[in-house]
Amino acid sequence: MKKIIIVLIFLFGQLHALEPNSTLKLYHHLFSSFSLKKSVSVYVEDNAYKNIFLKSSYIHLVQDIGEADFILLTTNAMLKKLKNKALPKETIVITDNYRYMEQWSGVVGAFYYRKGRSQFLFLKPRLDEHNITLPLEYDKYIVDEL
Amino acid sequence: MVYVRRYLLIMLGIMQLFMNASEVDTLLHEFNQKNALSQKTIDQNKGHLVLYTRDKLERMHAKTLKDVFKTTPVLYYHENRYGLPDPLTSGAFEPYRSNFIRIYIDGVEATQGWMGSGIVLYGDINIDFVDHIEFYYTTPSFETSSEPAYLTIFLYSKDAKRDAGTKISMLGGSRGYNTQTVSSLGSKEDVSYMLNLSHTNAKREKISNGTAVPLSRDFERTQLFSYIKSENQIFHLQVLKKDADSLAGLSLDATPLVSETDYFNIHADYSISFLEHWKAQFTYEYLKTDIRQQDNTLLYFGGNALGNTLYTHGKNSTFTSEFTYKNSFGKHRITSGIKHRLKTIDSFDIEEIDLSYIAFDKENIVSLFFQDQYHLAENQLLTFGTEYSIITRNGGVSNDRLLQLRLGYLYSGEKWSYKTYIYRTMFSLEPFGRYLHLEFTNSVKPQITRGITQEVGYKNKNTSIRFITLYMQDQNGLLENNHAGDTKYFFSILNYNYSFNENTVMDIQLYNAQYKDIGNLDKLEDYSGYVSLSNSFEDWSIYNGVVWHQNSIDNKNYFDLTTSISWDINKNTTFTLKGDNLLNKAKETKLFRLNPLTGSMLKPLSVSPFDQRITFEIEYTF
Repeated sequence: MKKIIIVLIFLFGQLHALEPNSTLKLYHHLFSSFSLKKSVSVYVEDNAYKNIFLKSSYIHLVQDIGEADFILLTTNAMLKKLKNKALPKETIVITDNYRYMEQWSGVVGAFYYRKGRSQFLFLKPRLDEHNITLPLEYDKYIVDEL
Repeated sequence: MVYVRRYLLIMLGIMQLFMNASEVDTLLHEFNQKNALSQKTIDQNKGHLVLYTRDKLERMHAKTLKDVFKTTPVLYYHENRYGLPDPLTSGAFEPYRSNFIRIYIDGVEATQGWMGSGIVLYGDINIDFVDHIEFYYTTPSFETSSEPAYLTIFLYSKDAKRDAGTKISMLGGSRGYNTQTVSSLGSKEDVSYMLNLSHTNAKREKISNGTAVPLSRDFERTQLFSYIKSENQIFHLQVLKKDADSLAGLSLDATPLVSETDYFNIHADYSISFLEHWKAQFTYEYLKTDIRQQDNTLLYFGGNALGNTLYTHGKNSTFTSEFTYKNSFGKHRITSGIKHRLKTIDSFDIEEIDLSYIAFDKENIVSLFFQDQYHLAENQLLTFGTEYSIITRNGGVSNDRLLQLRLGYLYSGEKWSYKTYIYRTMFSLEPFGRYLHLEFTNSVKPQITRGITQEVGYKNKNTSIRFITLYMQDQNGLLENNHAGDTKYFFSILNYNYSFNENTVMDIQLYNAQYKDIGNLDKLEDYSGYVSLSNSFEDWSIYNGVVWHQNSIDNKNYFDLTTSISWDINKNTTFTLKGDNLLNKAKETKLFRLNPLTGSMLKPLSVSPFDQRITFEIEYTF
């Protein structure tokens, strides 16, 4: 932290912003645990994520859901859209809202907030459906059922 | 002491079990630290910060502000002889003393206007709606404060995106203590909302006073917190109803036959930011108070005999308007604004006593402030602020003019940081004190407090260490001082935090205060410490915290041990077992008593504001 942080924001309006470096590091680690590709294509609609992923040379944003290696599900509207779409089997859907995992079996994992802390959650049967084996360090975040 | 040492050793042993961190844990730890909402509201220029992040509040299983306030240094939680939160109380026959502490919710002050600081009602509120809490020591940044303070407490509410959904929780505990909370957060497009409703029936420990009727401080409280906000506008509505037993109340020998007070409070505020650099904020507050006191001897308030029975009904309102302008010019960051606060006593009746001759029922505060934050270098800041307030009162009561000055220097390196402030703050006597003591109408000079503070910090990936010193001196002290000398204060605080990994955190705090000429004492020394360990493992989380106090009045050691264990039965349901003041040795203060017939001192009662209590809680989210 080289610059002094004197936060002079108004209370509202900017609270949803994500810190770019730690967010990128975490999603790099997550996507690279799923895929051996040198770069991955990601579909996301949320502007906060888009702005951060644009800074990455590893993550390539796509406009077409069908071209994505990963879909980051963040809203109800997106959930409805995805439910009605046939996705390629290779496409992996991750969400930032645990409830979407309950509501749709197409979601493989979640990176979400609970009681002020972010955490991972993956469902083993859904990982198996995609023939995915995550590194051992993710074991404690994998459950058999919700 | 031996028990505490053994206990800490056992906890350190348990902690060792949870200390293996993988790369993904390290990344999660970093992400959580940098994306906590507190990172976005912290304003280093507000003073010396003691921060309770959401993660820390959850780990502590803190349910009320009191659970947090008891662990803070310098000014920690106390209750006065009326059973109200009053950290500066001396336990003597005095009106409310904690107007030097101010409380803010989402950046807006919650005040009780005529009665003084909002701490009187909000000092122990249910904090289920809160995401994180910031305590700032020293006189605050003028852009937030309408009235002077040397401790400001900022509560920030949960975010509707991160905490979207509905939560119901039920808590039950010792003596029938119980709390129910319902909370709902959501958002649609650019508008988000929160509704948080709670009800607490606080059955508390009784205090024996040598009669068949022990002192009671039970209360029943219903509390609503709500907001609706968009990109540049926010509206808050808070309603609080509290029916309380008022401990000793106005009984000189602390043997009241009846001692009860009912409070009804409304707070509403609206803020809008516009034209890029401007913000306007409007706040309305209302407080209705009904006091019922009865004793078989005369009741006294402020030295005035009031008969055997006292029924009072009071209503007061506060209107606050603020306009703030912020902009950057080169290396200068300018903040300036104007604030107006009108406090009115709408009615105050003491049955059978005619108060209509008192014409004093309005206090106006108009403040102008200017602050400049000048970037000396990339990591150095020089900050200067001044505020000038004109306080006018009707009814022939004297007016005041207050000048506040504040100069600071801040350095923030990659690992080391340094902060220092020098300030001059002026406080005037709150209107309620003047209203009830008309001899004070023209004779009370504003208090002037001068201070200098310093803070040195070091942090690396897992560790943070901080040392703070504060020196203050009062002139014309408003708190009663029978000695000729001005009160002088010297505080030093050491904080040490170590994160073994994402799941295991240890906090240590040591604090020493030295006072000269305070109350009836030439010298007073105060020591305290706080150690906490929190672990989480799979679906379980454990918290252990000990607060220690000792002072030179009786050199007695007090320990307040809090332990909790929490189990996530599934992703929606959590069960928590918590013990407060488990050793039953928490800090006690003297509640002084006088024989109402002879005026001689009776043996004081020792009262701890912290009950020994076991609670069970179940939370369900959907």
